[in-house]
Amino acid sequence: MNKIKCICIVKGFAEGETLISNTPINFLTMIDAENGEFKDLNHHLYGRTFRDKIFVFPYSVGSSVGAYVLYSLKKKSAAPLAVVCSSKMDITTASACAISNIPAVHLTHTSSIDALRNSRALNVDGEREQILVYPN
Amino acid sequence: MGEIYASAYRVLLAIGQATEAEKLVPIEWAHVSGVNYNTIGDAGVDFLQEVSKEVRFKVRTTINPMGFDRTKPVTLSKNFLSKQMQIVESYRRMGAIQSFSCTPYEIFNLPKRGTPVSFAESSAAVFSNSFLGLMTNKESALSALASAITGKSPYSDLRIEESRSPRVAVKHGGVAINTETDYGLLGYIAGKIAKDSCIAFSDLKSEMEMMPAKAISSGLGTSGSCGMFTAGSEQAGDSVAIDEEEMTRAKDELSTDEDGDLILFGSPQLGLSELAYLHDLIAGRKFDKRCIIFCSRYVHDQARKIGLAAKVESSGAEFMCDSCMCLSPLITRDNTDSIITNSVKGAYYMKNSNRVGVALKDMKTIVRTYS
Repeated sequence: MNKIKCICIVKGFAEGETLISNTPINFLTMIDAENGEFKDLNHHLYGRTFRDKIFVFPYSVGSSVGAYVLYSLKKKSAAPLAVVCSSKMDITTASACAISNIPAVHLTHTSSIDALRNSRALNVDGEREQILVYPN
Repeated sequence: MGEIYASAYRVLLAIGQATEAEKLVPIEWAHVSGVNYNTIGDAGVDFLQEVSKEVRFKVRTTINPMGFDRTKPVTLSKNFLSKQMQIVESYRRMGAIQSFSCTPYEIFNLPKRGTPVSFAESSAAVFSNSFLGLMTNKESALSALASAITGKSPYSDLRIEESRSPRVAVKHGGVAINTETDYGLLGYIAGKIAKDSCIAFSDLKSEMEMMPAKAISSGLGTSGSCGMFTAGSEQAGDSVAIDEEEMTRAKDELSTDEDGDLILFGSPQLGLSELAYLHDLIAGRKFDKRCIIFCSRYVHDQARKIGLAAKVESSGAEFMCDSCMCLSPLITRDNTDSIITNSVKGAYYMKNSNRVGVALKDMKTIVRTYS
């Protein structure tokens, strides 16, 4: 099992299946606010959901209202268990996770994403600022 | 202090940590997004209602467009109307100025350059940093709300003078950037490239008219996380070249149709200079399709006073105030196959959120083709 360093932005602890987006996320246009499904036809995760997953993505882009999408999904129990920003923690993601109590961390080295790619599950520990990687 | 204030500080702490802030600083102005019911849904309605029971805004707070024009007969569902009015009431109770505008910088007195503010609307954040010297990060709806409640924002990133120098320059070289739509596309492409909070357009002139300035700001805000740009020959370490092919690819991504049923101007809402330009273009002719102009009530009322609104309306175009194009509940797949617009931001949200087809053309071409 691999251990990866991260920086904690919103505290918490979560363990679950890994879901990785290779590209930045506009929560407002790409994610279905009802169920957490990727509704963007051109996204490689189209049709999948981040509900109850550890959602790994570079950072969020575009709409400032995207924060409400994550908040709505949390209220509907359709939010990710935790989010891991692989490139940088942006303000939309950080603020949405803080209000919604979704553990949020970002990687200390962007290259750490390679270790996450071959994982079936992740254990995000905000207190210890570490991610345990369960390999495939 | 109540629970809401604690939550607001929790948000400021999180975004402060995310942007490596050492402290909070007072802000003079918050501009909050998350007003249109289509963007925040039922969870947002309930959330704002709870917040408004406890909170009064500490600083001047303006708000983004809502879903419809308050003075027009409304064709929307009872549910939409009632939810939308609950949102408006919550913001009113908290002390927000009923601006319903995504272009607050065109309407209100501006603080002096270097003043920290907190702007959520992405196009307004980029515009205000880049042209007005106001200092804001690209805030989210919730972080700007937290700043409206507390009167504070993290002292970090674009609120620090030294962070406002671009490290990467976009060079478009020989690619012709003429119309407002070209500027919007250039911003849209750059937003995808930029990893930092500030980027340079080294082949653009630093002086820009209002229309291209708003277009490039909103294009940049739509696709990226970048909150500022500089234009002109300022030095930046690295450079990225954009060629004609990339412009075509971006246009093809957003412009799905050759033609449309309905012309939309907005995103951001039009100002007086754009209305005057439209008026000059139309010059007595009439639109042969329905044409809706989204603008703030302030701009509309000013245009009405000086006779400009009536002249524009004589082309058949109609004003839609208080609201804007993005996620407008007025335009759905049920009533519209495709729209025609000059706005790159409008095109992106019409295509991806409203799920209608888009013909992206500049204003001059739209007027020539459809009047």
